[in-house]
Amino acid sequence: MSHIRRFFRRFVTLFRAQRAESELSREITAHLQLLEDQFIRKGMPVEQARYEARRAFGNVEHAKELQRDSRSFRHLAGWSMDLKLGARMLAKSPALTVVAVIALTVAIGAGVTYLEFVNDFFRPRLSFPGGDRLVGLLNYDLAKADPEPRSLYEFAIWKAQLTTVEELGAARQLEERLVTDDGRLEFVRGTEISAAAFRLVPTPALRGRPLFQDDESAAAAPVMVIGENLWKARFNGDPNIVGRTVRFGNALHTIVGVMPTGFGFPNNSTLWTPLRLDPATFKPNQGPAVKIFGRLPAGVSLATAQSQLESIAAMPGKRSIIKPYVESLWTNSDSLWQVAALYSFNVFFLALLAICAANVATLVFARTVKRQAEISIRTALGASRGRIVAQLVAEALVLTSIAAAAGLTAARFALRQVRVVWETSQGKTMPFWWNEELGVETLVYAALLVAAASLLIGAVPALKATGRRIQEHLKEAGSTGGSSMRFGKLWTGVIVTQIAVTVVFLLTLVSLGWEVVEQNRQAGELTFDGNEYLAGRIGFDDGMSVEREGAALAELYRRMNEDPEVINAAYAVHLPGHGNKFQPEFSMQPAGEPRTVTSARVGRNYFETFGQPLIAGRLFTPAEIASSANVAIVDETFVRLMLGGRNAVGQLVRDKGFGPWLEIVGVVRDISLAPAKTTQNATIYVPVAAAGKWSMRIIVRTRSRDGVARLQAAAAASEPQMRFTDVMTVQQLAAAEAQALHFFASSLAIVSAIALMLSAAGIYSLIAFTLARRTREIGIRTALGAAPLSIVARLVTRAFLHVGIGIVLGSIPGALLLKKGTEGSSALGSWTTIAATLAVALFIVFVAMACCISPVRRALRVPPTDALRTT
Amino acid sequence: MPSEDGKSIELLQGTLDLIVLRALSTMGPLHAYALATRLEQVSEYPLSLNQGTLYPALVRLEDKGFIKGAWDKTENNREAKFYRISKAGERELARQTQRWRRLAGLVEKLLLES
Repeated sequence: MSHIRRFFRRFVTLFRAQRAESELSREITAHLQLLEDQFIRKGMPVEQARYEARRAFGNVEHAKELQRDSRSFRHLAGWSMDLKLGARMLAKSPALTVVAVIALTVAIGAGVTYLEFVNDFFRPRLSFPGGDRLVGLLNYDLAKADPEPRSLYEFAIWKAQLTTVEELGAARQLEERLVTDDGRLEFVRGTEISAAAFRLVPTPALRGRPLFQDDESAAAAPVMVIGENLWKARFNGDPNIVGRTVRFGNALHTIVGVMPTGFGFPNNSTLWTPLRLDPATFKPNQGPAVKIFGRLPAGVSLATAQSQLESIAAMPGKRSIIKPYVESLWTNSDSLWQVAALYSFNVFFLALLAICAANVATLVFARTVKRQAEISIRTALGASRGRIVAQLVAEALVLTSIAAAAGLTAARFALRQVRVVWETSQGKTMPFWWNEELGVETLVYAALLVAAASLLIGAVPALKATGRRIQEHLKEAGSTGGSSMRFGKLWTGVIVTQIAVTVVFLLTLVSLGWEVVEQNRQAGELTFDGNEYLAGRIGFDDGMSVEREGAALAELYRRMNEDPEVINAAYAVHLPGHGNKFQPEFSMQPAGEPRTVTSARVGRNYFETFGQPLIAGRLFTPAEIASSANVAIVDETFVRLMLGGRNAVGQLVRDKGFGPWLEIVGVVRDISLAPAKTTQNATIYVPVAAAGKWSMRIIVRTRSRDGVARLQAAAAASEPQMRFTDVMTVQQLAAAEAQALHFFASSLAIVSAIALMLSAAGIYSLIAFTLARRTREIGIRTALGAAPLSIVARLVTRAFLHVGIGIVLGSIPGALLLKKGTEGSSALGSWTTIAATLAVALFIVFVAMACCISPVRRALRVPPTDALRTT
Repeated sequence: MPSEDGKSIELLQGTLDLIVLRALSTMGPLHAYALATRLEQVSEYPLSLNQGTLYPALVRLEDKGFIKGAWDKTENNREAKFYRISKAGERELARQTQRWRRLAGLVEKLLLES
């Protein structure tokens, strides 16, 4: 306790230094006066008494210094000057500054972006009144250890009895056809919601009004509030939108208002209709999945509400939970571990920062050799080790602060990109509580990262440089030709590790880059034009029977085939070039080394639609497709690579040595024109019934420009509960899939570039340090007649040995990753993996040699006479 | 505690705080000069103690709440800052005294045995 008190007092004194100083002067003056009085009493003259008093007291300034040390954080006292000096030192070493700032910016920026992202998703900040008291209510099925979202039965009970949660409401998501008065039809995601939501999150409507309580009455006319995006996109921002009618699902709704994009409670939505489900008609565990929400009245704690909830809801086998909205409407009890895992993933970014900081520390240490004389002289003049360390930490603080500022700016930019990517890929706006502003926690986290990185970058090299050998350094301070400081095992280890990591990154980049090239190549070599084909996902409302789904698909299929604008139509689980992994084992031949081919589940008319002609055997019969029979069709590559060109028809094949035997009934031409194919290109097609557990895609080859609308109209006419979503051309679909790979490849390229930059800087500092230490030796040996280049070559050999160790250490895992990543690739075999590894190794050696040029030239420039003079 | 050879002795680290607390506990409120004089008298002058070296100890003890300083007049009507021991200081003194005795006893025992 006394230590805490002391810390606090010292902290306070930091801001009251002047007062403390005058108090000290006053006390010492009084002390000297008392001493003087005593000597005068002993009979001394005044002048002598004053002198003796001073002598008895000792060095006044020294006493003051000691007292200052005790009363405050001494080393913080000169920090403003240290920071200025730090900024000056960074300006004097621009190369080090640029390298360090880039590396640290990426590390700090990535860390804070990730934390802000997770925080925004799981701990949103709600700024409106009562936002911090919003709660979610959910039921937890103890038997299934799972949340039970079908809670309308309980909702009715809670609404009637729960007094510790006000404005109780519920919402369920819908996906229905929206038909406007101009006849246009599309499927949109809407929300059926209690009017309480609009009171809980008081956002003014852009036009008209939000939903009111009366709208929930079964007798009231159906109304709808639409979102700003829908209003602009579908109604061209019609100022007279209020009062227009639209058909949503099966009912005509009158639009009564437009909500701004900022509103989206509890989830962002395109439109909102009043929740009119009568909870009394639902039994426990029945009805649609709903989200239940409300607000704690002011002064009521979560525990009080929970206690009342438990006293009300004694449902057998269930537990009802209230969770604060801002913390856990999304983080319900079953996903707490996921949230913990998401937060703990930050360790990765901390490791990234540690690696970057360790490398920068290496560079700083190497630079310290140039400042060795300065450090030694300051020590001789009385500067304590702590003082020197504090100054070097201050310099590091300037460096990391610049990086943090850049990292935070980059984080804001990255978060804006997250919104763009999310909204593009999900086809809906971000949740209303998402914002790109950086929270206080993120700023504090950034400050902690800065502090940790500054200590690592500043303190570790400083402690090393001011260690026990400082006396030796002091002796050498006057000389110009060398240094006794050594590039110890720690720093050498950091550089070796960095080189190894760089090799791994570069080889992974080669692997990923090859995948991108391969994907682009394959996409360009398909036998059909992806722009001519539309593909969309088929979905049904909950509770539809498989028979009805099958009938709906058959009807849709019939309608499309009758459409004169449709050339061909098919359905399948997998699109060309996609599928699951399949390791074939044949009944007629012994199992060899397992090889992986692609297995695609396809339905009626698939081969005709994509123009894959039959070469041998037959296609699937309608009966085989309807029953998902155990038959298969393979392509030419499969026959060539897996069966050595033998007749495939009649062969029995199964996956991974188990599962049902499939009889190969036909062989079709390849879907790809790629010249060099591997087993991954070999495809085995199996029939799949239209309706069942698989998520099916409809593929249509059409002449029509409004193909999407025609398809959706056909789907709506076939079955009111059928949805046709995510419609795009096969080309667009391939591009969307490639986007993710491109994103990963670009991110890895950035990280690899930084790793390479740090490696190059590390190698440079290692060589520069080694040569700086031996400058005098080089000079003397040159003076004695040795060839300067051979001396230098001998000295840098050791540095290159470390480079070599790093390359070997990184090549082993890197080559394994490359081999794994390019497994089955048409062009990359084992030899190519070795060649790529060698190329990367040579590249690193080349970079290392490039890094030598400047330090070697500097070392050779020292005239031998100078070197001799300093001995 | 005079030294046998008459030379001054260095204080062990940390013992100055204990000595100051003990002096304030025995003598009541004292200013820094009186405290230094008292320490020299009790130790019969072998302590190598510049009077200025007292100040860090006084700041340390005051910050920890073991002593409290207040300005007052001396008997010669000079102003000085008087320090008195607090209750927390008395408790600390008891703790530190016990600790010191145990440590001194142990060292003594070791010296006798070897």
